[in-house]
Amino acid sequence: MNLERVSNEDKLELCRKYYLGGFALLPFLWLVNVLWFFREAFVAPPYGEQPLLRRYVRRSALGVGLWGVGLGAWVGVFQSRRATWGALGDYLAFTLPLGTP
Amino acid sequence: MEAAAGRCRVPLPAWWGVLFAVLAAGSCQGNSVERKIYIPLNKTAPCVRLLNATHQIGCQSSISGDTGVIHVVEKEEDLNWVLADGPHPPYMILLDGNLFNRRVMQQLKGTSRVSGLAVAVAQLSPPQGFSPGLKCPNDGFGVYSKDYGPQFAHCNKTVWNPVGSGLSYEDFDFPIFLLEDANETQVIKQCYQDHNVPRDGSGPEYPLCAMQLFSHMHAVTSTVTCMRRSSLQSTFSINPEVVCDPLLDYNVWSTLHPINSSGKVDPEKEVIIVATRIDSHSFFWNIAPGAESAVSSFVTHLAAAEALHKVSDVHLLQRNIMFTFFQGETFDYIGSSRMVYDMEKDKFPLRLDNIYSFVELNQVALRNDSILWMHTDPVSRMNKTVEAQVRNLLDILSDSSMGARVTLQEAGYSQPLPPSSFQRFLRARHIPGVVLTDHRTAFQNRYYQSMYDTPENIGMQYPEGLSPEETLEYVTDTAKSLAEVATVVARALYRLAGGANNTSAIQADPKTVTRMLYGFLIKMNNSWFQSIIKPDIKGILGDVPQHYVAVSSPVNTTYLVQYVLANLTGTVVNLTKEECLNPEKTPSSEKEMYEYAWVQGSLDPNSTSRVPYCVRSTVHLSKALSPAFELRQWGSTEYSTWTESRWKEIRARIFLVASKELEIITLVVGIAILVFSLLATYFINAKADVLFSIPRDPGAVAY
Amino acid sequence: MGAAVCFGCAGIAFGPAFALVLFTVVAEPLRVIVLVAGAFFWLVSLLLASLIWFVSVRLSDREDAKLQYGLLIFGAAVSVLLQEAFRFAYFKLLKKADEGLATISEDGRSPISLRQMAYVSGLSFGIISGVFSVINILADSIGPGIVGIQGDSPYYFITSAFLTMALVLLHTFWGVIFFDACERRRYWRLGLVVASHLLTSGLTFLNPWYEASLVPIFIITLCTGLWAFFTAGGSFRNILKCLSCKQEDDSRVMMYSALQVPFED
Repeated sequence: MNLERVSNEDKLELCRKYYLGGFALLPFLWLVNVLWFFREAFVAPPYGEQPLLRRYVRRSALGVGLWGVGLGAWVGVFQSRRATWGALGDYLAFTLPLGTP
Repeated sequence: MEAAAGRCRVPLPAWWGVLFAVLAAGSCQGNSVERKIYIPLNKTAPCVRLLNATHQIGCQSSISGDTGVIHVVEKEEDLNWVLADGPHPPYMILLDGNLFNRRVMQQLKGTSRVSGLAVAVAQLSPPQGFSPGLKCPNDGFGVYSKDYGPQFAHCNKTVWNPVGSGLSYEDFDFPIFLLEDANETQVIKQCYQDHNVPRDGSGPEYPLCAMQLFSHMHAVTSTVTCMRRSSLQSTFSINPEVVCDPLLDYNVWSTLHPINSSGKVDPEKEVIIVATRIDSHSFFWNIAPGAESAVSSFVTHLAAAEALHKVSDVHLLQRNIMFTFFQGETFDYIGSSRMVYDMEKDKFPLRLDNIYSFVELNQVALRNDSILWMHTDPVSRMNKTVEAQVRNLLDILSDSSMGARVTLQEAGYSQPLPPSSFQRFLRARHIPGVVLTDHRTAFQNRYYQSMYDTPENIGMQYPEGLSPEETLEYVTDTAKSLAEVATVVARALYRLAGGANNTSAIQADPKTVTRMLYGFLIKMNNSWFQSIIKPDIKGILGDVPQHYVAVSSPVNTTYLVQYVLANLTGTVVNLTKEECLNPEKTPSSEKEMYEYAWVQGSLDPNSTSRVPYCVRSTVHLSKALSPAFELRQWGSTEYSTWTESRWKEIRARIFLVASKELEIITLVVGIAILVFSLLATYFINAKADVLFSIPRDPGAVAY
Repeated sequence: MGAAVCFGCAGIAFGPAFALVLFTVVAEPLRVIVLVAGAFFWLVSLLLASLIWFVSVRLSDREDAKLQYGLLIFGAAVSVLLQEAFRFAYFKLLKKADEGLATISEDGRSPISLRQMAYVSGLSFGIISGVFSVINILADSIGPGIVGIQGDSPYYFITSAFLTMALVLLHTFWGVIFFDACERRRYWRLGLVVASHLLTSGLTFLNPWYEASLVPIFIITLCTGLWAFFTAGGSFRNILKCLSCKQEDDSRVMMYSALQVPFED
């Protein structure tokens, strides 16, 4: 969708929908929000709805950041420690390497 | 078509096949460039990974094979090159068979300069003995523990296998292969001589001769882990990847008087159990000749069964005799523990109450001065009733040896039972029993559970120049001596079962014994075995005989013991093929009491067809899977938990390797040529209109 | 690290071809079509040649090594002749296509000249011939081993790669010369192309005596390259003009910039 042809109210509505949708454990919606609306929120010349848009984009960025850190930490811990977790590691894993613990 | 690239021929007869052949020129089997690079080693045996409740044993390679520069080690000093001096680690060692001992292996285990090992089998068995088994076999799974006879537990009193190094039970992180063919070993040594030997003081130069071994095992850590992972995969995955299999097979059992194999025997009926094991093991996979440790005992047992069945008043005997052949005893008594469990849980026609006494034959071929030792359990004999029964048993056995060339002597109260299936029965009930062996304290067998437990170990010698048929029929001294043991055992069993007549007519036939020894130790594919098996399994008779329990069942040994026992103790009945294969349709067949087998029969002398016939016998198979797997107690310390890992491919090959420098140079040259071409083409293309001027000739066509 | 050898040899064998395709063929759709169709023609010639060789081998005595070697030489010669025959067939096809393109174009001239088609067709023959020569060898070079345990030369991979590079370039040059010879009806040039192809193929039978095979082949490549350069319209004067052309261009650019209209507010 080309944002240039969309009115400002519709842009705000879209951003808000994506922001709220991200709370349903969908951090990629927040990521899309940030990438899509970054230019509109911070680079474009000011207009009425922009402060609200900025708020949504900032919060989405914060959400994505937290998710990223959380997932990254979990992946790091899992990859390095799964071998020492015994049965729990096997139950949590989707595929297991052959021949190595 | 340049001659630089190789061509390979695909012999397809059809014209259209030629098209496909041409277009698939590079991918057909036997790619000629690959043949220029690699020499595959075909006659090898790997060392695989086995797991039990707590440990893993055996060897592992990396998933894409382990490669190393070959170094031939024929004396211990050669090891220094590998461990310290050699400039091109990691090394792949070609070890002389005589150096394959614990000391050398401990040195190799500790270093990262070794990427694998190939052992060339020694032509002569090492004279000092070689046993990769444990000093105390099946420790912890027999009857002696801290609660029962603690002075005998963990071989405190007698170390049964003093030569044992425990190599089979170590865990190696590099692949170890056995080179069975001396020609292939010579090819490797020649390659080593040509390329890897240092000349004129300086180190060997590239290209060097190298070897690659593939034996990647899928299971890790222990049976608990691998069975858990396998069951998770089987439950939740669309394409399950099972990583290990329990060792399982079938026990073979047969009774003198037929019993209903699906019903239950009356508690008043008494049965004497005769038992032997039929499996063995060695360091390498599917190499287990087991001449003394298994074959000698079960061949004697089979001969005794044959002799007993020939007795005329067998049906008048008061007690029944059950001839049992346990499979998997090498791995913590898989077969016998399962039978005891089935008896306790009422899944077997007999119960432990029915057992009157127990006679076991263990390693009977290497007798000193023809003395056979009778071992009993001193702890259970402290009970007076048991002591009386055991005394009776020992007396009958001694009496039966009168007049025979075998002397039976008691091992005495101070000696515990050697590792035997009887110990599992004792764990459940104090049954009077005796184990007959050729050793009083430590094993006479210096090659227990090794690849050197060959026919030569039990003294089987044939004269030169005999054809296979003649060799099959030739009666060796070993056969005669085992037949004598079988005679004594048969006579003793007759007496034990309540027989009152003179036993001098009971004789085991040395001709049968020698044929069995030949078939189970030298060549399975002989005319006698071919005539007694079913037509659809004649394919099993191809390989070199070995007796590893394995994971796919039944193995060749189990099949052959079953059919030999059926042939020796069963009767030929006059049924057609359909009646024989479907006995329930015949009214008088008594299907529950007997088993019917339609066997091939022997070859007509002048034709190529066989005369098949139907054999009725009381030979049955019972599953020999450790109760730990039935109960899903994979960490059990009470039952055997041995499993074998799965793998995708096992192979070995040798080739030449280039130095790292040459490889890097090739890469750099390639990148340089690529970059130069890109630059040159860019510039020529940019200036193309200047460089390639079209001649301004008005008459010529501008093309 | 067999991957290093594989990528290195791939770079050596297909570096020039890759560069040529990337800069001169990929951008123009007609040239891409000529490239792919040329590869197809070469493949058909290979198919026929291998059918002939296969049938002759099947009908002969397999045990006679000298006869088999003779049949291999025969097969190679038949293959060379068939390749050149199909090159001629492709020339005829492209000539017709050229006329067709000229009639349907807006200004009566075909968008691609016959000289360009000659070059691209030669390149296509070269690439597909190189692929069939060396892909098998590259696939085996990924493994840990090198050729040599049976007594062959340990430089097999790298010499095969260089040979393939020479072959790719040779086919390109032969394409240019061949089409020019056919267009101008200078049939002795045709004969020379076929003869040099036969000579190159014959020299490979001297492998593994690489000094006697690779060096002459590279000399032939160089000479054929020069010949193709002159056939395509190049000359020493052009080269000199090109090298000194850099300064002329710069000065002309400066003149043009001096003529630029000043920026208006």
